[in-house]
Amino acid sequence: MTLDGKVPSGPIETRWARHRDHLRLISPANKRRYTVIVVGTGLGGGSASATLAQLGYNVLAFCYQDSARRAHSIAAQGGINAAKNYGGDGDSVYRLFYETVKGGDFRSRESNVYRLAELSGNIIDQCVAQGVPFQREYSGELSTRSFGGALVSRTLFCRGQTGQQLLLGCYQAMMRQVSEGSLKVFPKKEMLDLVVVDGEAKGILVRDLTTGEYEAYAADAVVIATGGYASVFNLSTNAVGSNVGAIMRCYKKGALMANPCYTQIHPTCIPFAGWFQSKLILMSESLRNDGRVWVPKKKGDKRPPHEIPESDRDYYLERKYPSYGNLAPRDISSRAAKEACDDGRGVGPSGYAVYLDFRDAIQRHGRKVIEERYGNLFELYEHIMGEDPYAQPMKIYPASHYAMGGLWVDYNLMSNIPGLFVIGEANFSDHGANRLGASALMQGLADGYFVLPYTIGDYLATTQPGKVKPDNQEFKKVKEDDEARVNRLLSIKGSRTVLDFRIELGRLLWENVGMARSEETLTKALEEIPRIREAFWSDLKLTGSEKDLNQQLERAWRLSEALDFAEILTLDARERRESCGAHFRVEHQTPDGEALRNDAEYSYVAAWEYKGEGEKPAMHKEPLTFEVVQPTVRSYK
Amino acid sequence: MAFLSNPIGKKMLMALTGIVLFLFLVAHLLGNTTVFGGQGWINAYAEHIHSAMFAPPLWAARVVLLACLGLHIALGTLLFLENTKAAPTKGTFVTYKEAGLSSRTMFYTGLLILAYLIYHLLHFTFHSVHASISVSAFPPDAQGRPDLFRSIALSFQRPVIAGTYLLAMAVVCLHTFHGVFSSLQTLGLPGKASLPVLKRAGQVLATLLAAGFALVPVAVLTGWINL
Amino acid sequence: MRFHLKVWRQEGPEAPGRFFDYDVDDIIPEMSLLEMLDKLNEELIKKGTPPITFESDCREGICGTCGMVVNGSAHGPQPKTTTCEIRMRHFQDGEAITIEPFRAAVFPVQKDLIVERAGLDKVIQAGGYTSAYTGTHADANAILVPKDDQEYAMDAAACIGCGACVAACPNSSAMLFVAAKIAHLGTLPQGKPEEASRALSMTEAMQEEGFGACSNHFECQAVCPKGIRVETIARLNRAFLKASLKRLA
Ligand SMILES: Cc1cc2nc3c(=O)[nH]c(=O)nc-3n(C[C@H](O)[C@H](O)[C@H](O)COP(=O)(O)OP(=O)(O)OC[C@H]3O[C@@H](n4cnc5c(N)ncnc54)[C@H](O)[C@@H]3O)c2cc1C
Ligand code: HEM
Ligand code: FES
Repeated sequence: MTLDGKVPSGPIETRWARHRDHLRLISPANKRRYTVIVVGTGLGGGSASATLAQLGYNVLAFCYQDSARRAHSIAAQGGINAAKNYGGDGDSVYRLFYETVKGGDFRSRESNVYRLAELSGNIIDQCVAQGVPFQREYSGELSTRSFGGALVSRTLFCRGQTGQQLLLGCYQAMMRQVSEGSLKVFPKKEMLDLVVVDGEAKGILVRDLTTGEYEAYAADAVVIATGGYASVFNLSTNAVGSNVGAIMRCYKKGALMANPCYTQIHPTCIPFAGWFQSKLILMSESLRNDGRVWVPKKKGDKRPPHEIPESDRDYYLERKYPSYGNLAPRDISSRAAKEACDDGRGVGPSGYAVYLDFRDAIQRHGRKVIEERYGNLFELYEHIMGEDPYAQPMKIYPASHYAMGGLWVDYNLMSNIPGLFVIGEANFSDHGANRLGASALMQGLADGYFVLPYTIGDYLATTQPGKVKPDNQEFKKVKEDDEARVNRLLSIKGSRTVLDFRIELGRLLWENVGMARSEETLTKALEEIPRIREAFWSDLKLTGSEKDLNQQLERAWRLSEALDFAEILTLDARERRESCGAHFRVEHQTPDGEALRNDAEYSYVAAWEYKGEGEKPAMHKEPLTFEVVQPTVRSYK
Repeated sequence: MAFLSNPIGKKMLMALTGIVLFLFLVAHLLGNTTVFGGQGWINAYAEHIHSAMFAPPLWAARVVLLACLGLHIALGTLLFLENTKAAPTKGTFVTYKEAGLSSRTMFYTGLLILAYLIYHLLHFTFHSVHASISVSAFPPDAQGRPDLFRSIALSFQRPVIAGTYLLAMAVVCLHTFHGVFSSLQTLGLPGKASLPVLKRAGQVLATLLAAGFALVPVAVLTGWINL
Repeated sequence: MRFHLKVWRQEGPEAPGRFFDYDVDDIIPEMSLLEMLDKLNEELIKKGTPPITFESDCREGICGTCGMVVNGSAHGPQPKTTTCEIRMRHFQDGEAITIEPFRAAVFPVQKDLIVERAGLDKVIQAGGYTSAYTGTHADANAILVPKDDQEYAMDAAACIGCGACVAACPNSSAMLFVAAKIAHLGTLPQGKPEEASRALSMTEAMQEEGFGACSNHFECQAVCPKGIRVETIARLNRAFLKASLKRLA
């Protein structure tokens, strides 16, 4: 298989404009004859369905929550990047592009990233027009802050609820389209499968989560926007319902899975406290603008933080990365925390936490300023931990957070299955091996508001509207398959619960495929995963029935896909014998412990093709070429 | 009509009519205070009110009041029914945090007020209950005016009547304790800072009003006012 | 820690429901209430009993999915907290805790602690948006917004649409929910032009969906996990009045 990314050529500044000018168009009157299914109502799916409906397409949007407004994009706290140069510190489209390519450790497509940077400004204009209440200065102008490894101040934010406000913007735009009749939203319906007819994506099969009924929906194109897969690690910052099911089913129908090993571990989360936990809560990275990260210099120093004198503290990020200090990118900060804790210098009851200290910032700016900047985050922390972060430093630790990998898409955001588009975190497109802070929101909205609405027309123009109906044989077949799979889950009648397996898998991945990976741990994981899967399929215990609201069944289905996915993730991690971005192979590091890339051999996108149950998937490579930014050693010293 | 079919519209009319009724009560209370001036004052006041010169505007006021009362009752009943339908149950173990007895019993206190109102009118206006101690049962006072003072004093000397009036005032207090502020809120008056102040002011006003009315039977019972 | 739980269980919308008693043990104070239920559910499943069905997603107080009445209060007795944020250390060891679903005619129980809240979406559909098309807009800084207005809008925009206000309201009114949206959009220049029609249509939709009217009980404010204040309701009333007068003229 040859992978054609359909990347335009020519000067990078005008690639998108020229490409867009040559996309096929559908006449306004004809648009409503086309039906588009959008799975997911987060920033990606929400913005796409609102925009497509506004353009005149007949749109059907699905989500598993009880309202479109609850997609996990809602939880994003920190902010959204835009190359507006509102900070007046020399920001530009080029600089955002450059930093994103570099931040992704030269494992992303230049053209995609440039387009993203280019559209970043439009997004803000769009959101403001929708009534997103971005933070403002006393002048009435928009505030910006520097965020997550950027040297300029380009992040816009709504207190600590940026994702919420952006998502509500999408949601409200969607609701408007619902009232106009061009959009239908189907909450509490989980996509079980993709339906491919004559090689093209023409519909989905869903299970109604309230009644348990299977329902078939046909369309002229399918857009997947189901978010990331960080939840395969069990404990993550994702929602408890976040899952890899939809993209795995697409994968099993022939879509390629790209770079699954690129998973981001976020450095500032509330530390792990026990296996009873259902998730790990993120503390926005913006805290690192004013908080200083440290651990005691001595191993096993159990003194309370305020009793540890300055001379006994190791501000390790400031020490190791003087120019970025506490703002070093996520992968680097996370790894540094892990190193310190592995070294026995971690704090807290488990020894797996580091301090994030606001003492100096409070002294410098006063409590009031700190309260204004982070009040709600401090409250959240105190709520959960029962400790006052104004009085003593926060304890934080890295947690699984974001998926850079995902379904492979070309420049038009279409997968290798014609008619199947993938947007938002579910695709692999823009972040390479590591995502910079505040750029996922940007990407989701760029995809949904400004890219897909154009590129999908190019595909639709080649197809006959309404070609496939839900009574097509293919729908019947898919339904039979999935029903059989559901019934198989219910008929195991073993002794272990879904959660039991979920924890086992998550723990295995966290320990072996987490922040530091080696040939050995990866091989071990590849041996263990099939064992867990087998145990799952032979010893799972479910209660209840199929035709009912059955949450255990939902989770079992999702976990069954996660088990299959874990294997590709690990395989991809093993095959990529280099360190890049968030993918850290201990065998490949510089003498001072930094990631060591191997551009000569690994400058490609690894796209995996499903070969059938129990078969090893095949890897296809899309070479990455860099015409504008020359790959260099990513240094944050 | 669109205004009235809107839930806020209905409430606004509730609030407006409620305020009119409340203002009437305030005026009524001011009139009542003449009783403390003794027989001469209150009888003069009563005659003054009834004298032909004031009759047309007074009648107009009565019509307005009656209309307000009718609307207030009709809308109150409608809202009560709609709200009960929207909330058949609030669960088994409900703890209220801000809603007090007053706000939760508006409909019932309203009905009690209505009952009291009828009784009160029958008593002092139509003289059909307690006829033996009504104004029409007594000779005019020295100046030839109907002897309202005597009727009041003799009525409230009976503990049952005084008790009924006192209870009724408690009910009025309960109704307006929430009602006064609630109507301001419904009309959109409060802002962030003024809201708690207005709320407290409404409660104080309601209490003062009811206390003012209650003072008369209390004064009679304690012998402060006597014949 | 150990607790005695009384949990509402109901098989379906039509089925009758009742409280079931459960004793849970080995609860760690750091656990959230939902994690305690997770633990209980694990035990129930192992015994072959259907687990307690309840909804949650983000588990960090922002998505608005979770929502139950805990000890008689929507989202539990602690102020400004969602159900998923409740930690067990806030209860006394050995305490009895009752858990039941949100109650309102517009929120029919689907199963155990899950209720249907589509009515809230319908109310937003009636006008809880600005009619801005996706495309090219004026630069985000072209219209200045006074900081105070933006802060006020943000306070109101923090609503997570959980429906606790409706659940707590003795009338099952959604006024706080509507008022928050009106205040959010109406305070910003981008949302101002449509404020009048928005105030009318959203409140009408609220009634049509079967939510009650506001009697100013203010229970909503007491349970709102995001601290949205009833003065937004006064603001909505003003907007409604203005809109009605305008319609009259
Ligand atoms: C805690 C947290 C904080 C973050 N903070 C930031 C930040 O500050 N800045 C930033 O840029 N990024 C941030 N991110 C990342 C960013 O929020 C996400 O990457 C982004 O919002 C993902 O959007 P999405 O639309 O792709 O997916 P989501 O918002 O996750 O939406 C997924 C949608 O798919 C639906 N779905 C999933 N599976 C199915 C199925 N099988 N059937 C039907 N529907 C399905 C869900 O119901 C949901 O509607 C953060 C992420 C987290 C978890
Ligand atoms: C002199 C007598 C009365 C006065 C001064 C009075 C005053 C008020 C006021 C000020 C309100 C507040 C309106 C608002 O919340 O906006 C109110 C509410 C109410 N009144 Fe009265 N009222 C009187 C008699 C009655 C009567 C006779 C009834 C009979 C049913 C009644 C029923 C109600 C009800 C049900 C409400 C609450 C409506 C709601 O909030 O849903 N009232 N009243
Ligand atoms: S689960 Fe999201 S708010 Fe509680």
